[in-house]
Formats: sequence, C-alpha cells, structure tokens
Amino acid sequence: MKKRLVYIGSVFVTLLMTFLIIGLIAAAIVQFYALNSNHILSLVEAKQLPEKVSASLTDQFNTMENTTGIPASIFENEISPAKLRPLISDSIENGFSYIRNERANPDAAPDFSILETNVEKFFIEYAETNNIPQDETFKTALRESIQNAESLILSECDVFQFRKLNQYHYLDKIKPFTNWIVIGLLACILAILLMLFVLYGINSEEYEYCFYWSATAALVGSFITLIPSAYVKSSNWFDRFALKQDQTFAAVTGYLNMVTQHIIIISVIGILSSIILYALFGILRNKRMNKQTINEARH
Amino acid sequence: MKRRMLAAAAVITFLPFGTLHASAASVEDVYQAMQDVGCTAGMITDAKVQYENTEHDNIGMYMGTEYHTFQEWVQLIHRYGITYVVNVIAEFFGIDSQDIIDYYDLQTESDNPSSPPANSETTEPSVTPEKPFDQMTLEEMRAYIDSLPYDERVAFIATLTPEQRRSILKQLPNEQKTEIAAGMVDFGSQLGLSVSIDKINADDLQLSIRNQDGELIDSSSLGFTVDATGWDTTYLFLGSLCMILTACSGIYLLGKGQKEDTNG
Amino acid sequence: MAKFKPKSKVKKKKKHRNLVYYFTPPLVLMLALGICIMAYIFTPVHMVQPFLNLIFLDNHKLTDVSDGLNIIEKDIKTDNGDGQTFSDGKITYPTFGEQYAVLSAESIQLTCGVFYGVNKELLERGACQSTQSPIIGEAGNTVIDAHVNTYFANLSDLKKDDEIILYTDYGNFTYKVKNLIAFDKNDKRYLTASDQTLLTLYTCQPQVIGSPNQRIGVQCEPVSMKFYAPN
Repeated sequence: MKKRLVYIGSVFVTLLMTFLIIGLIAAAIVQFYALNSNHILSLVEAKQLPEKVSASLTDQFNTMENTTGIPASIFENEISPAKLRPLISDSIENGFSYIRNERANPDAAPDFSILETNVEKFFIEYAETNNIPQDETFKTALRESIQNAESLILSECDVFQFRKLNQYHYLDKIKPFTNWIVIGLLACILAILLMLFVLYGINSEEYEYCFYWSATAALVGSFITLIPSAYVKSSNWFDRFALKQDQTFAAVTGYLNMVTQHIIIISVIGILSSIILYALFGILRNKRMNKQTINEARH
Repeated sequence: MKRRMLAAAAVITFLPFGTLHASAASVEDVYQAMQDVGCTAGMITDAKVQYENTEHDNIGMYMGTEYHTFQEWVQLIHRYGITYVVNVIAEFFGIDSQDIIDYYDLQTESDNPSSPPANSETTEPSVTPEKPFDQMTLEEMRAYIDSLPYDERVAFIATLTPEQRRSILKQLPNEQKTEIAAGMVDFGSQLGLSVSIDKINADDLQLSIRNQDGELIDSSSLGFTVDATGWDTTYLFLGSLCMILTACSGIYLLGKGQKEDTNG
Repeated sequence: MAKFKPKSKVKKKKKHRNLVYYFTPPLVLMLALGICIMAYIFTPVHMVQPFLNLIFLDNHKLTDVSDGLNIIEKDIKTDNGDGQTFSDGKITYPTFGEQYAVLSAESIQLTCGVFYGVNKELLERGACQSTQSPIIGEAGNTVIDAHVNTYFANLSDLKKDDEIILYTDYGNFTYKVKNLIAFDKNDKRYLTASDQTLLTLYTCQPQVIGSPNQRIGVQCEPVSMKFYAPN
C-alpha cells in the first residue's frame, strides 16, 4: 500500500513538474529570445531587410512619380539600404521596447531633415522654373508631399507592422503579460525546486528514484515542447504564408523560425538532461541492488 | 418542362411588346425588379458594381456582355425571374401558372407600360391572416391560400413580397427547390451569370454565383442563413479525454502492481 | 534470518519493476498531452490567428480558396479626419470577398476587418457581412458575423450603449448597442429585413462538445452616419 502511494504521489508530482518545466522553457524563450532586441536585430542583416525595403520603396517612388511628378531620384539617397538600416533597427527596437513596457508608443522618430531639404529644393526650383507662386497652396502641397514620403518610408521600415498591430489594439493585449515573465520564470524555478524537495520526501527510502522522476518530468516536458516545434521547422510551416510585403514576410518568418529553433535547442537539452538523470538513476539503483544482494548473500 | 415551355412562350410573346415602348425606367427599377423576383442580394450588389464600373448611359446598361435598356432589363428579369419562381410556387399551391402570366399581362397593359408591373405592391386579400404570411409554416400558408377565392389566390401569389417568397422557398420540398434552382441557372445566364448549386437538402439550397470572368460574386442560400461561426471541438475534446483516461488507467494498474509486489 | 524468496518470484518482481520503469514515462507523456489539448480547447489560443492574419494581410493559406473567390484586403483609414461629411451620401459597392470595412468596438478592444460575403475562407480572415443584408450605410438590417474562437471572442462582453464604429472608404458609421440577443440557429428573426436601420452582430455561443446551436450577439441602432461624398 505504501509503495502504491509512493508511486501515485510521485507520478502526480512529476506531472506538476512537467508543466512547470514547460512553463520554464516558455518563459525562458520569451524573456531571453522572443523579446530580446539583440537577437531580433540580428535578423536585419541575416534576412537582408534593408535591401528588401529599399527595393520596395524604389518601386513605390517610381510609381508615384507618374502621379505626383516628383522624380524618384529625389528620394534615392534617402532610401538606400545604408540609410534604411538604422530606421529598420529603430523600428524593431522601439516596437519590442513598447511591448516590454519600456516605451510609451512604438513609433520611431527618425531624422528626415535631408529628405525634407531635397524635396523642398525640388519644389522651389520647379516653382521658379514654371513661375508658380509660392503661396499657401504651394506650401500645403510641399508639406503633404514630405509627409507622404516620410509616412511611406516609416511604414515600409516597420517590418513587424507594429503600427498596425497597435492600431488594432493587439499590442495592448500582449503588454500586460510581459511584466510577469521574469516573475513567472523565477516562480517556475522555485516551484521546480519545491517539487524536487517533495519528491525527495516521498522517495526518501529509495532516494535514487528522485532522479528517475525528475528525468521523466524533464523528458515529457521537453517532448511536449519539441514535437510541435520540430514539426513546424521540418515542414517549413511559416513559409506557407504568402505576403504582400517581402520585408515583412522575411522579418516575421525569420523571427518565428528563430524562436522555434531556440525552443528545439532547449528541448533537446532537456532530453539530454533527462538521459543523464536516467543514467544516474540506473547507476545508483544498481549500486543499491548490488548492496542488497551482497547483504542477502551474507545473511 | 411544361413550366419552362410556358416561360419561353411568355418571353417570346412579351419581349417584343416590351421593346416597342420608350424606356423611362431607371437603373433603380432594374435593382427593384431583381429584388422582386428573388435574386440574391449578392447578385443585386454585383449589378450595382457593374453599373458603377462599366459603360452605361442614361437609358441602359451592361450586365455581363449584354446591353439592354433599363426597361428591357426590367421586363426580361420579370419574365424570366418571376416565371420560374412564381410558377413553381403557384403550382405547389394549386394555381394554374398561365393565370399568373395573364395577371401580369393585365397589370402591364393597365399600368404605365414603361414601368414594371406592379409586382412590388401586395394585393390585400379579403381574408386577414392570423399572423404575418412569411412567418407561417407551409401547411398554414396552404390553409390560408385555400381560404381565399381563386382570383384572389392568383393575385396574392402574383404579388408576393420578396420576404414572403423567400419564406415559401425556404420551406418548399426538395423537388420544388431543385426546379427553382434549375430555373435560376437558366435565369442567371440571362444576366451573364453562372449559377451553380453547391448544396441542396431539407433545410437549405446553397448556390454559388459567378460572373463571366469566373469570379465568385455570391455564395448564399435561398432565404436567410444563420452561419456556423464556431468550431466543433467534439473530437478534440473526446480524444484528449480518452488519452487522459487511458493514461490514468495505466498508471493505476502499474500502481496496483506495486501493491502486489509488496504482498508477493 | 532473511525471508527466503523463490527465484521465480524474484524474477517476476524484477520484471514488474522493469515494466513500471518503462511504461511510466509514456503514460505520463500521454496524460500531459491530454491535459495540454484540453487546455488548448478551453483557452482562447485561437486568438493568435487574428495577429497572424493582420501581419500576413494577404493570404493565410491554411485552406484552399473557393474557385473564383477573389479576396481583396484593403487598408481602410480609421482616423476620422477633418473633412466635411454628409448624413446621406454615395456608397461604393463592394464585390464578394472584398474587405470593405473595419469594425471597431473600443469597449472590448475589438478591431477587425469586415468582408462582404460569408464563407469558410472569409470567416478565417475577419468578420463577414451577409450578402442577404444591406451594405453598411444603406437602410435596413446589416448583419455581420464572425468566429467566436477568433475575432468575436469577446462579443459577449459588449453591454448596452457600448459604441461600435464601422469605417469604410465612403464613410464612417457609429452605432450604439440597443439590446443583447440570443437565438437558436434555426431562428431567423434577428437576421430578417427591417424597415429600421440596424446593425446586428452575432457569433456562436462557445461550446465544448458538439456543433454549437445557439447564437449570441447584439443589435445596434445608428448614432451617426457620416458619408465622405454626397449622393
């Protein structure tokens, strides 16, 4: 009866530990990778985001030339990959900072002074050449052209679509949880230690079983996180999404693939840890059994 | 078959009559005519989109690749549209479809010929129904119509409102629904549309309507539909419950074995 | 003196212990997976789909698109702007499958696109307006529905007098919740035509087992109709 209770109790504690390990993996991934700007910024170069944004903007300004009459060459220097790189990085940094409640809004505030000067210069030259009065209408047109160009550049550089997500209140739904991630992480660690303590208490007569049950919890928890991640990675699930904007597709799928990869790595570490714990259990169990056999033989 | 021949005869007889008259109908009359004959709202909206986006003048418009004056469209829609729906309904309630056509002709002659037959005006019958007609069951409708004198029955059926028509269509048996659906396929082709039947069962007749470019312009049923806006999680729930129960049973048996182990 | 155990019983004990070692982890895995799936059913994890749809905008290709269905997603401005508006104006009629409006309900933090037409593919992308009902801005009962697992997950949190705004390219239309409704799937009374201008929003009542038969929603009356161009 006692052994049955020990077994059932251990299974129950192991089950709790399993979910705590899953929670720990999730919290760790979010804290150290999913919301960590340094890791995410590495995508900018890896996915050639500045080049993609530059190509998209060039196309759009070339198309707009037909309707606005403003030559795309005016904007050429300002939409080169080198100029866009800091804008894209800022947009990513600001967006994730906003999600981490470190900023009041996700919008970037870049310096467009050179662009404004170029557009203004073009407008003035055009007005002087064609004898157009530089009245309020002219100034309004100039202001609107500058605003439209800036808005377009900012929109294209917002590769994770933070503005749109914010407009639709989706970021507001995530933000309350980010405050709790560190607390969750620490709580999971403390709870796991507590469970280990309980396991030891339950299996005090045969303490090597603590290793067995811990290994089981680590194995099961890691498998549950590994199975869906491995499926998603192997089937290139994120590549199935077709997308209007090349850079958004590259950024978001790159981000999701990066997070998935880290989940797989941590899960594999969890599985390897469980194998080591099982091995330790085996060694200690054999030692005990040998000791018992020797004692029985002596008697 | 008989109904289609009658319909064809009606068209042949009356279309020339329609073309002799100056068109004073408007595009709104065309939309109203479509509504009167029970065209789906999607078809009517597509007609509006076509009107906005294709060439038209102040006397006519294109639908599909065909150009007709508004008056011609109204008459064509009435002749084809009313004929297939109302005739099926009329026959179901024991009314000769020729009497319906005669009724429309009388209305067309007596009204201003450039405007459509007064189909949208319902005729007040001599017997007041106990509840709104479109809220009656099919048996109640039949009982009510049978209580009217024959000429009032003809007028009533000929001047059903779209809601009343839809209510009847919704409740008609499959045989009649299939006939109507077949009629809609023919009728749709007159408007340059391809109508296909997706589903036909006791509750519903689901149609898909495509334009000449193959673009889906409506997917709807005859009548109002309450959409399925939830996902069925039954199998997922039962599957996970099975997993939990199997695992618990296995653990219990292994635990029980532990007990035997102590006693053994 | 130690109790003598026959060799066969020792072997049986060892065999059983091995069974326990080997079978326990898979059983615990099955139990944990079952609990995870159960939790997935009960928690609104599907809410992540609107995020993905919004980010990916174009096509969230999990299902085959109906033959001929032309899905058009548009960027509709939701800032009212300072331009002149009219109480009666011109409507730009949408095509089937076109996202022609954005629905916003601040009280429940809901914002989603509204498509013209209802089918499986469109319901995955946003709220859908029944083609049997008038276009937004027209007189009559405009009916819009969406999946309870995704876009309309919080619809039941709407209260009387909550404001709902529909933004389109031809105007913006503000409504106020008049009453909360619940009806069976065979009951059409809230969907039928109406002389009054109304907005009806509905979705399925969440249910774990079986196809949901009940629908819940709200009926709203107009507060203001602002067209950007006169009729």
